[in-house]
Amino acid sequence: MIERQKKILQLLNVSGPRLHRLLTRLIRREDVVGDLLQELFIRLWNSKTFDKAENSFAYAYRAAINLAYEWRRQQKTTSQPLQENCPVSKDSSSALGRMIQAEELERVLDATSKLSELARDVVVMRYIEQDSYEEIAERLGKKPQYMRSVCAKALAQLREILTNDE
Amino acid sequence: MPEIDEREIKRRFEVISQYEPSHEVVVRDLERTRESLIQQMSGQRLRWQKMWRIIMKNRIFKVAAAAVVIAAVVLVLDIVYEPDLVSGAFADVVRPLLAVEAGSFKMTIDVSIVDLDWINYGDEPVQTIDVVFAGPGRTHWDTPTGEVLVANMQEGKVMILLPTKKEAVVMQVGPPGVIPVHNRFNKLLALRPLIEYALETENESVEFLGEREIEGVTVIGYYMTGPEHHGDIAIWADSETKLPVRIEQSMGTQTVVISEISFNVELDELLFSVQPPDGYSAPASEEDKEPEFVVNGTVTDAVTGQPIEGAKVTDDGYGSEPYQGAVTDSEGKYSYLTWPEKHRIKAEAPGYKPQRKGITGLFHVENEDEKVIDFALEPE
Repeated sequence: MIERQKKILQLLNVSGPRLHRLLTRLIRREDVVGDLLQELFIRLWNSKTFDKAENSFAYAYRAAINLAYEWRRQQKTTSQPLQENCPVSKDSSSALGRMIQAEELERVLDATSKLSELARDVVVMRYIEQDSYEEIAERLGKKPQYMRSVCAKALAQLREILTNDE
Repeated sequence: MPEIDEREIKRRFEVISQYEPSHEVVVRDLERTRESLIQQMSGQRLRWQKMWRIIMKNRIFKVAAAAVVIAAVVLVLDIVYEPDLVSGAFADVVRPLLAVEAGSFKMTIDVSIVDLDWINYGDEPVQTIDVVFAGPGRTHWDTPTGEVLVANMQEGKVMILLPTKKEAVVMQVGPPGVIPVHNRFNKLLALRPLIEYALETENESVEFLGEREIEGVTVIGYYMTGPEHHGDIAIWADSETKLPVRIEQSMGTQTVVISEISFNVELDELLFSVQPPDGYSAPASEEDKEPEFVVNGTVTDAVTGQPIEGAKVTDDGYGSEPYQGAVTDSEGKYSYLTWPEKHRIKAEAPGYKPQRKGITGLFHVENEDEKVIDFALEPE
């Protein structure tokens, strides 16, 4: 039990900032990201599959993506408009520009939630966290070429979803 | 229907990927996560809550705990001070406070004028507690009436000794070896964030108070204005040795004085033992006592003012389920028993937005035995 405690506290110490950043980018609400980070680590603590994971960071990383999209789904039902808690753009100087840009970013994140779980995770890792295909492949236990192919298909799918939505 | 090409999608992702949360927010959220995780791990948050119940039953512990809590602020600074690297006259005075690892002091709390609504002091005007500490995780309190509190986070335990009853309450409040970020028992160490804040903002927040005499010793003083809501502090140090001899913190009408400070003295390890002494026994089920604090009230429709029957009112407390709670009757009334402690209470009913109200203030409800909380729920 003590080993397990150390493992999860170490994960928080070492990877906490990265997971926090990931959650912030995906939910775009700095005011609630702290609650989600707590929820993530409590879930990991209570998870039996976490113990079996070979790479605890990779497991936590995917759990964070899941949690963020779960939160986004819940928010959809209450239709919370995007807050200005996260600066979104360098060139969106006007209020209107910022609103439009915020809406665009929300749409692309919402569209991502419609992908398969694997495609969604790969897109988040590649384009939001800007990981290399090699890193993604290692994290997911797949081959880099396959990740590249999943990403290409996901982009095409996103284009279709967004075109139909907008 | 506008065509969105892949370049546009990548551009949007790139905008998202540029966002970096502020350092302050990250540190704050990591600390909170760490604390809640540790509480969960130690089986869990309920244990801290139970310990607080015991502390709150003892007036002097209650006052002392409040005094430390006042100081135990969470300040997030970009700079972590290395005590040996800070320089300047004020820095010379506070350096020992940043560097001290073991020592002792007296903590005197004057609460003669009470106006803080979150704390109910009762009628004790001045209390002095002897405090001994070794490292951030081990603290020993002695009260004038003989009660003892030992917090030993290296073992993850807190022990309270009540000599009149010969009772010892020992609680595992955290995993061994994990020192909580927030210092709950050591006022001197809890002041460190404020001192670091003062060093960071010395030009605006520190004022030289000149010289005076304290118990025949010439001392020099500095006045530190803390960040909003964190109180102001005067530090008096021996003018020759520059060692602090007295620290006064005022917040609202409360004053806490730290005096007779000894730095890095040798201490008896037994002071931090959480093994009950011979002759002491555990109180009968004290920590698992049944709830006896009454929460009651009425739940109504916010629009019509009509009572809502069947609304569920529960407290989320700090513990694990099942939570205490009740269902409203045909007049919208509810009543249930819970523990006298800080918690939020949630009212919910089908077709209405849930509403939460809090019994706020960890120390506030102890001397009451009933709280009326009414809810007016907005239709969905």
